[in-house]
Amino acid sequence: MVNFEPKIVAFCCDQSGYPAADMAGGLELNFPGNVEFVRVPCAGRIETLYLLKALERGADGVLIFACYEENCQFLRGNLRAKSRLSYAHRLLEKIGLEKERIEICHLATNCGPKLAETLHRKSEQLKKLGPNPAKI
Amino acid sequence: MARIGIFIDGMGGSIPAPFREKIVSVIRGLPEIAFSVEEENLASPGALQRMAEHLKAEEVDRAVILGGSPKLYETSFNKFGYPVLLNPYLLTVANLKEQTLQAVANEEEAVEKARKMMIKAIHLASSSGPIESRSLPLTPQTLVIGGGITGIAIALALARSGIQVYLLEKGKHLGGKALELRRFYNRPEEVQKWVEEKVSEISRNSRITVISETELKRLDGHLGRFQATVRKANGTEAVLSPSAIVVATGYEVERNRKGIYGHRSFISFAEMETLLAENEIPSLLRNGKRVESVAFLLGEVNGDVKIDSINAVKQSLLLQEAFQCQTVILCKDLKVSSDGMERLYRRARERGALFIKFEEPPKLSIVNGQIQVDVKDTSAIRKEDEWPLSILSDLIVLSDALIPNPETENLCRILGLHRGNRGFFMEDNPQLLRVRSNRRGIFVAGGCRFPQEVSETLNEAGATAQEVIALLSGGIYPYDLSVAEVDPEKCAVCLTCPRLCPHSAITVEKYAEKNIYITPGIGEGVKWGAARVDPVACYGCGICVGECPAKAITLRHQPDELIYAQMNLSD
Amino acid sequence: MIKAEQKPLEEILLYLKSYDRILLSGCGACVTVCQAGGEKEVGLLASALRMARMKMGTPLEALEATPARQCEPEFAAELSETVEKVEAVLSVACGVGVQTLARHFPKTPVFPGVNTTFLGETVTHGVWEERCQACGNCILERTGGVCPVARCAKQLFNGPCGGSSKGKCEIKREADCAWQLIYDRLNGLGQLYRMEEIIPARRWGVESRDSGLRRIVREDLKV
Repeated sequence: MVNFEPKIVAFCCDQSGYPAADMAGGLELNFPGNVEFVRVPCAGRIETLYLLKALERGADGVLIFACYEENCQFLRGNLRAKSRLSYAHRLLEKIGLEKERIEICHLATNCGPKLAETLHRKSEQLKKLGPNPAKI
Repeated sequence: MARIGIFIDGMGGSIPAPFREKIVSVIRGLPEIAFSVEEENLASPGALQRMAEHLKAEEVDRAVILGGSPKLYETSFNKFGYPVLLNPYLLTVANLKEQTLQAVANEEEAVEKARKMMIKAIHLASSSGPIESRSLPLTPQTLVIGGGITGIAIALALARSGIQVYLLEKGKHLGGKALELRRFYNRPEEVQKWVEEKVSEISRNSRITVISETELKRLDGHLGRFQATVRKANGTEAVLSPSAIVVATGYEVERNRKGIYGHRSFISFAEMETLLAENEIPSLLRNGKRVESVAFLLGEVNGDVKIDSINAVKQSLLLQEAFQCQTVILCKDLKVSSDGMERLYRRARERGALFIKFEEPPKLSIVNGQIQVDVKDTSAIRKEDEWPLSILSDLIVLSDALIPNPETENLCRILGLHRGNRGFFMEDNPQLLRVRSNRRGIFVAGGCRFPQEVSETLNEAGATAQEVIALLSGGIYPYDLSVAEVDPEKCAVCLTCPRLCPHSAITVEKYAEKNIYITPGIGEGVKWGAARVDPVACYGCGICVGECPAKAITLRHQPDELIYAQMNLSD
Repeated sequence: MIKAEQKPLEEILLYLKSYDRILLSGCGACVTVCQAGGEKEVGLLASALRMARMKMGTPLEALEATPARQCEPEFAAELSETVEKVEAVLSVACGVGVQTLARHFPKTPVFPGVNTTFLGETVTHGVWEERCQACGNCILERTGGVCPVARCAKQLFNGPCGGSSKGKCEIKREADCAWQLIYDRLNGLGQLYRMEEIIPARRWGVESRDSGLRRIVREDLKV
């Protein structure tokens, strides 16, 4: 467990999360070692199933980087993502997984530091939680 | 097997050559890799051209860029055009700069990470499919709903650019709220005359068809192929086929004169406007009595005092200069942000208008049959210098409440548009896309978005006309099928997607005459027994895809497989 | 349409305790519309089950299928090959679909994954409410199109009872009183006189399912 580097799937809305990741890189803010970015046109594209599948297929945690509320280019995509996340949380609880494994972070294009910080915080948190016991 | 061409972008030295070599060395010689080429600044027009030539010469069917952010290349494609013969959806970018080199401190780890990203990109490129481009012919025909000054100005501007306009007006005459106004604050001419001139210009213009006493009843179709059913007051219906629609239905005023506000001293801005126009200079008479002092009370009715501020300062100046009245403007805030207003405000002040700024709302009482306003003037610098004032004036001008047009809700339902917080029509983006609505091809302008002053509204009318002209002038609307698509055989017609689509791009369409299911595919005139996404109206956000309980909808440029491939997990 | 709700995961896990290979079957009709057992829910439930079992240390293999309508024998037959490969079936169709599969596959246990709740209507997206109890003898013509059997807690035929207060029901305070709705509706139609007509008591023992299994036979349609 010493060298456990949590695997994080980070869904990035193309309107905010993805540019923020670019900015974080541009500012040379380090990302934790094991992050996989998934670029989606809007957080509303992220299905509840993707959140579960990510964990099922081996991720230790999932992050959704979506636009601030009331700031969605497509009006309600970020809110749909949030509702789907709350549904996934209910399932996680039943499965017996910590709901901290999936989290949403609202940000804007200029929030590179926030994105990097969230990734690090999540990575540390997942290190404490340990590897995802439900992965197949 | 896919033949993949690799382009390695040095990003002007940001991705050093040794690093590039370490990464590309792993894939060199793989059968699906046709070639790898180095460039220094791939997003520049020259390099893009060279890239196009390479792709053509080597006959590859997929391309991968190892370089910076995909956003960078997308921007440059937008700016310089997309010279590559390859379908844009067959090109993937591995963001080595922002996501590895700059994000991973340890070089070995960075190389490891970059290799992984490259393999992921190659995998993505090989599993992507091409997306077809299309174009929709647009006839230069528009429907402008609302014959107020916004609608008039837009109709004239569109007609000048050769666009046919149906100008729909529910009342008998054009002109709308502007007819209650007598003078502009920033132009010398009279409003009525100005409107008359414009109306006669409209009647002379063969490109504009005014349809008065008519309302919109139903709207079908999407950009380029709207079918608007309109009904005249006498019950006859007609169907118009505009390519684009502008909503300019304005706002409504509500006069509430309950309690003390029912006193004869209170008049509205509109009534004052009429009074000023009907009286002969130099004496102002109301009901045969001379008016010598006028107070304006702002902020009592409308939270946003911009229009009231403009009217108060404008009318105050007229009262002072033409009718020798003493004026007082009582306000909590005064908004003079419009063009030229600062100057007018200063002039009113110089001519002796009193501006009294209050925190606590003034107290109104009736003294000897006149309204007395008790107010504490807070414009003093020191708190102890604030002193109470009692003002007795012949007239007190009070604003009417500016509220959404009562038909807004119904119109939004018909048009598939959204309403904002205060019940007005909502724009797509208040900063960037002020006059676009949530639906492609439908624009919202003027007072129907929020109450506006005439000059502001005319600016907005101009902006809207520009948008419509830009949309229609090419004669076609180019789009690609990077949109959502419903598989009608899976669709349970649960109505989830039409309810959720932010752009009203999905409708449930009736069975074909013979109840035959048509095989999936986006085609014109196909009858669906299921939900149908209009490819022109769809923005490709994927909200419906994520929500469909039957998993009947796919996002054509980003199906499930490409999401899972991006996750880069086992299985 | 039929409305259903997914059963708690722990309950489902209990049914499947002794099986390692199952088929999770959804249905493309009613339960898709009420988002309890369509293809999306099948995927979610399968994923959740797999993870829960993995965590318990007894991995579960869950195949997924969503026939167009589970309550038709032909659609059930389409599952035959898949069912042969599994030890048990978990069906997230309504109770009807579960029974169709059970009848069709005599050797394979079939478990319900949802609770079939009621026949209902969509109030707003994501909110469904009971409207019909399939009592078998419709009286909606007398009650202005509002069913007292389904919507009155006491199933009163001649209401309201004394517990109707400010338009709400005394049994379930957030629910509208059905008889208030009936009154308002008849009032709107100008048919308030109907409130005075006594609806006679129903012979539940003969007309409803209290008399045993109900069956509809259309001789003309039989093949």
